[in-house]
Amino acid sequence: MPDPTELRDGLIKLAEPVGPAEGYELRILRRARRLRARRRIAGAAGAAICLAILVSVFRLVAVGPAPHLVAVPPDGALLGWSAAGDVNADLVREATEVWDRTGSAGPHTAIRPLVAAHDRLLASVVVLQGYDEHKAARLAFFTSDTTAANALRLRADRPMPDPTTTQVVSLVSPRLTGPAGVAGDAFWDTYAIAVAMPGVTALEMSTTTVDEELKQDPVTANGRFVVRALPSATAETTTVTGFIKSSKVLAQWKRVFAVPGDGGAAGDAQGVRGAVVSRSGQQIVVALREDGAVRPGQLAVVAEGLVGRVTTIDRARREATIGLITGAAFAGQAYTNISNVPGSVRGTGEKLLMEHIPAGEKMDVYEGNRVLVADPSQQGDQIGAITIGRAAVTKPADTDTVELIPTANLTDLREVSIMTPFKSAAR
Amino acid sequence: MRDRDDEEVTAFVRARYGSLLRTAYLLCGDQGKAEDLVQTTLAKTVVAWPRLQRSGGIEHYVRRVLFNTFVSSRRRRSWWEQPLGRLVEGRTRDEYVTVEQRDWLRRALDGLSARQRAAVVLRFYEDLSEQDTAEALGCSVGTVKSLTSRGLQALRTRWMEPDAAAEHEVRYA
Repeated sequence: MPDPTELRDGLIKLAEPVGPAEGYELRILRRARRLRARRRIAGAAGAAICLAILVSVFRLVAVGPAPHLVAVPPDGALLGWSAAGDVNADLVREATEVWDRTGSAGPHTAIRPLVAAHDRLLASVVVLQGYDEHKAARLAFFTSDTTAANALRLRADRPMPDPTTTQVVSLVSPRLTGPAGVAGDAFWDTYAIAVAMPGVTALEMSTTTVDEELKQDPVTANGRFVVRALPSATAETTTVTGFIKSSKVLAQWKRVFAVPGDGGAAGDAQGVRGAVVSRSGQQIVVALREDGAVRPGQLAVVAEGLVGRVTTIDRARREATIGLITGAAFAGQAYTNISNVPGSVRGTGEKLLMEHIPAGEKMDVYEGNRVLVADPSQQGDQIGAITIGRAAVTKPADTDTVELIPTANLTDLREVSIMTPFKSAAR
Repeated sequence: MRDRDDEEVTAFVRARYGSLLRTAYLLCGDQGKAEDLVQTTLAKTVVAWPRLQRSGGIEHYVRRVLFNTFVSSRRRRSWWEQPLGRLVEGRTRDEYVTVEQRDWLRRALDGLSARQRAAVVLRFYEDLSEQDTAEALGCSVGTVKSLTSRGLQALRTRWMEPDAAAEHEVRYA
């Protein structure tokens, strides 16, 4: 093909003989109708798919009202909750026998297990509810005694809380691993057990006596039943928080309750609650619900930490006076949560100081370090130790004193717990 | 309104069918395939007719659909229909020169790629500018230049060695 003109002529000649066959208009219109029908079907199918995707998205993804916790009707005077997880019948049988033998007046009847399972931390955990021989509803916690081939021991035997309003039952104690009433040796031997009502999808237990970075497993645990190691914790310094979350994708956790932990294990110090009725300078006066076990020198605490120490008791008015930790009369021994750096704490009337910190290696106190005070109602310096404050600054090398910032809000106190030893506590 | 549209579209089909068929024949090299291509193109045009009337540019649309459908059909076919060399379907050479030249041109066009062939037909049969050809093919002017140049080069190569090509085709046949 020599040039474009010749090519053009060639193309014209090549196409020239080609002519339309008869009936092409009808064929084109028929094709057009089929094409329209196909497009309509494809459009309808596409719309149906879009609708299906939209419906699926609405069903799977968290859209619409947030989930809420549905109340469970009580079972007489007992909680109407189903058991959390699989119930081990052997553990229930053993726990019932222990309960009848060592607990409130037995035999216990109408026993309903809330938990009866083996556990990684405590070997076995059983929580039972039932009636004693006086038909009083009771709640009992059992854990294994690791010194006796994991035989179950009764740890707490309490009156049943209000079954219509209770959302979670718990037990915080350093006495859950050995013989009944005996505290564990190690710093880590304090545990918390919590069982929440059906519908709760996750539980978190936190204590103000230990920094987050020292906790073994600070992650919120899924499920209604949780066992957690909470070093040095007491019921007073522990908070149990419940969450719910729907199974939808992207659903958010919703907090449904945050309540103080429960104590009451045999051998544990117990908090006696008192409402603050007045304040003058560095002292507060609290009205006690029961004053029998309260003595001068005992510590007054709130969940966030130490408030002060009982100085006097007015039995007639059932009131106790508490000297605040920032008052000039307050003094005591203390140590840091990290590294156990010892020292003494003292109020100045306005501030709180940690003094007499030894010099030397690993005796550093850094800004933000938590400082603990031993509770005289406990059987040991570390068991149930209470946070008094945090270091306001990093301690300079040439001084043995550092200022502390109290963790409890001393300016807005409404209720405190006075820590009393087990022997003198009412059971 | 619908009847009026039908009348208009039918008139358009009648007016354009012949010329489109000849262009399609140059693209496909086969009258049956060319009819199929044109009918598909015009059926799509009929479906889009109300929209095309509002926006104008019917000719441009038809040309674009024709060439896109052609290129797409060649692309679709290519993955399952493998050509065996340059197989000639038992066609004998025409005794007359003009007929022979037409035969040669058809075979030469068959040797081009779909886009090269479309570019050559648009430029030298439809007599479109490079800009219009680029719009019809949905590509840049530079691409049109490249496709046209390579298409012409391929045609010239076959023009210079018609006999060798013919022998090659006959051997496969």
